[in-house]
Amino acid sequence: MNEGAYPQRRAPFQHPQGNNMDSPWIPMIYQYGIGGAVFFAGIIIALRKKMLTAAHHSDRGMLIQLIAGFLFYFLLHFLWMIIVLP
Amino acid sequence: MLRGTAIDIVVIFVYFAAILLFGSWFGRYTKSTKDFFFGGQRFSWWLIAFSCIATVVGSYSFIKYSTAGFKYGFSSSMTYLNDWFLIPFFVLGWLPIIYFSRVTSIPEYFEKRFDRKTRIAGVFVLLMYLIGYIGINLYTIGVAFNSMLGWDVMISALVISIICGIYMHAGGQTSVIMTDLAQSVILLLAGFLIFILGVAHLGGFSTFWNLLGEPFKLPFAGFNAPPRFNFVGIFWQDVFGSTMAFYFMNQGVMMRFMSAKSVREGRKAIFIVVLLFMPLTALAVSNAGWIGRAMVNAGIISANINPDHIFVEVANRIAMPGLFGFIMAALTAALMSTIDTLINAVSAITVNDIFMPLKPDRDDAYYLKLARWIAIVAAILGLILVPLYQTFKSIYLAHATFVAAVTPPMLVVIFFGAFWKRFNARAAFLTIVVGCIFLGSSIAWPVLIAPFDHGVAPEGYNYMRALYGIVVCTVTAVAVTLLTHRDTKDISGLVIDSLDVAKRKFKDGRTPHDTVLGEKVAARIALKEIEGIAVSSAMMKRLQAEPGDILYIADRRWWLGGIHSLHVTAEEPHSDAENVAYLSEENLSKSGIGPERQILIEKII
Repeated sequence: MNEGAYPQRRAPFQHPQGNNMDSPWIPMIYQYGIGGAVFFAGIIIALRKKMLTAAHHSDRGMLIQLIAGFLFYFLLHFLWMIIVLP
Repeated sequence: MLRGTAIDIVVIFVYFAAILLFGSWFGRYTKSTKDFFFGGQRFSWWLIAFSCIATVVGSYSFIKYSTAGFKYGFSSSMTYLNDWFLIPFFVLGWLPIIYFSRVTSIPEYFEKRFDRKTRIAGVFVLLMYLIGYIGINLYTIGVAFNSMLGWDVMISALVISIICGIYMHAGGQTSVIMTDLAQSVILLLAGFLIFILGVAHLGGFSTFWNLLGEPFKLPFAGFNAPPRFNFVGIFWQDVFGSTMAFYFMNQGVMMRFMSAKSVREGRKAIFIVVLLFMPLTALAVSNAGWIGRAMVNAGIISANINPDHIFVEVANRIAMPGLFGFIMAALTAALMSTIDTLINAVSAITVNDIFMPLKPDRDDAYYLKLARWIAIVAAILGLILVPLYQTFKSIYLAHATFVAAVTPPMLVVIFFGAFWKRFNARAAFLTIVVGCIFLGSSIAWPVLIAPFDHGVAPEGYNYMRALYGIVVCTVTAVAVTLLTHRDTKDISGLVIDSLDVAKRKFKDGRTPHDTVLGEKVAARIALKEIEGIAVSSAMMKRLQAEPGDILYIADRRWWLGGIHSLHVTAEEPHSDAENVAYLSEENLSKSGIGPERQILIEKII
């Protein structure tokens, strides 16, 4: 089977004109903008309330894991977009 | 439509019988309400993680996300890949607060943190939320069985609610966690099998990939269109509605994390859930829709197919006798593993927040008996709701509307309760009342949501209602708090500012020692009539423990996940053989560890 065998292939949905953002990157920017603000607010509150203390080895590990998780998802979505977009 | 072969029917019934026996068998570990609701607080992270995934995936998930995947593409995975933003608040705030303060339910937290009135409001909202969820799950599995096997919706729901009711009656939280382990493996395996067989059916991965258009493969939906599946609506409804409700408000999930052997173990569990299991689950539940779209583009399936039937159609195309039964078993697994959690949660709230305050002088055996029977009643109530849900046009929208309407007031109260010391009882109660009124009004007059709609058409307001609700409830909470006097009530240990107090209470007033972690140490048990556990001085040093610290002892076989284990207080060290740990016969019996077994000891706090 090859791609040429399916002339009826089409995009599954189309964004209605005039009621959508043009760039497919907008959702990602929005998600990591709002979501990122919430995420880092959580970390800042924990640091200010001494729930996390940079002096403690285990707390540092937790902080690194949290930020690594954020970067993991950011990179996952970023690479996904790069692969899919022409 | 499919009706299943004899082999499929046999597979399904073998599965039903196996889960019923497996779940009921763990009733032997349930001797108190603490065991029934929290599994004795003994489980390892991996059991909690598997159990969470089994709870996340409901019976509607395969059908709902396959339909969304078919219509809108890979963006059907959005809801599974946006949980991480809330994790700092959960692991650094809410989880340690509920674990160390030993609250048994969210309404109980409300009374300790606010007042009786807020607790009653919490009981009402949570029971509606939980019982409604049981009904949704029973209804969707009934629909699935009806379309795939020709069974009556009510009969299917009845059979499954009986099975869940029986093993929940017997085993409580331990049965939930152990059956969830089996069910999560089954449902993930079934999802991957559909993907592998579907891709093979199409001629390989590159063919599958090339059959799909670029917009279909994007990870996000259009920003604000189409109205019923757009990015911004899903973002607010899912992250700040469903996901936040799942981790912060879902009594069943709270109980799951309370059943972890420690807060550290709960944190490990959620990291694995969100970073590993969620992406895998997104693939497992959505891929039938993606495969279905590729099949339509290849001319294998008619372009006129009803998207709601795509899961059934793809399963029909790729499954052989027996495998189809396995897929049906996976759907049932998804249902049971969600329903058992909900049933246990309903039981916990009803016993802890209704019966215990009404009949405070009864012993634990009475409450345990009550909890077991309430599990049965909860299953029956969910069943009664099934005919009601049959009137909803779309399962997905009904679910979204329900979650969006009920959760914002509760979430805002929980959030401010845990993270803002100044937030007081009056503000909490008014936030729930005003929030429910405004959210109810927005269902009658959707125009109220317009200022928050981000350009989404009114048909998509069900999703934007979450943002509207959060804004309304936050404004109410902040305004009332700032305009009223501070509470004089002692709330230490119940807000993030005073977590050390919660830890101290957890240790019965002793100083917590959880900043430095020691090693896990192997030991041999010797019986001695002491209250806690006595280990050698060398062992205490390796554990970094002091007398009075809470230690966790467990059978050395890691794969038991902590089912044979116990929290016990460290006594003064002994000076006998270095690898000997003294423990009373009573504690040994409670732990379930055999006297000939080696144990592993670790410091908890």
